[in-house]
Amino acid sequence: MIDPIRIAVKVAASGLEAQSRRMLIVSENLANASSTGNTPGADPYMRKTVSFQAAMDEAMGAKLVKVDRVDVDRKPFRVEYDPGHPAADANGNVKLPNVDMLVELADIRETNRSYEANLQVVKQARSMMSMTIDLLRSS
Amino acid sequence: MDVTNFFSIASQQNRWLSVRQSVIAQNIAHVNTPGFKALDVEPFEAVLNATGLKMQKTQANHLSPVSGTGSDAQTKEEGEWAVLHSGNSVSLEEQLFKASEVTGAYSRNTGVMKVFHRMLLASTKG
Repeated sequence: MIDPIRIAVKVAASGLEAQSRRMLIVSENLANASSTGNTPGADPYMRKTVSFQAAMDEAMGAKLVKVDRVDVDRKPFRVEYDPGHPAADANGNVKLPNVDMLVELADIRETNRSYEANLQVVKQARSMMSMTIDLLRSS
Repeated sequence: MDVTNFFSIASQQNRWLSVRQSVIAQNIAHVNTPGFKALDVEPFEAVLNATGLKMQKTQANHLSPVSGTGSDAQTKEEGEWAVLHSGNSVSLEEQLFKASEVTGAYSRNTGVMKVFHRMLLASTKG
């Protein structure tokens, strides 16, 4: 039988890992917000999306979080007229990535908030553990 | 109330609190998981009253049921008052509030246990 406080720490750790994976994907999207192709008419960078899933851990009897899959966003690309660009097609239009800065920044804020909440759980579980150990300390 | 009885109740509540903390941790970890429903454990009164009932042994080789999993408190779905479009019903503020409530109760419990232990030691040492 596993100590429930230890389960709490493990579940929170799985949450931390999932949120940091999400942060990675978001930063990838932000960094490539203007990455175009380099041959005429080529597709630019496609925005990646990440989704989470609850995974039952039989040994602990608790649900861990894991990254379900990383997909690409099927939204249409932004098109800009820039005939001098190496990726411009015959009409002079360049396809730009379907990354919306505002959405990505909102995502970063949410990731940050969720990460902080998980961290808070780890802190509290640790303080509960040390309170129990302190019972042994002779006063 | 007997002092040893107090210890058993206090450790029982500490156990209940730690199970509750692990359920809250699970809720917080799944704050962005689509379709996840927030859970909470049964109130302590229910757990405390239920533990008084044991299966009667009529023969010596009867086994008494022992919970093998990590949590012996039953979990139930919480009232859904903030369900997102993704079907997720975890409210981060509520969960964090509950988590700090649990830590507070745990610290109060261990504090009282310490005092009782000191009393016990004082009376045995003389």
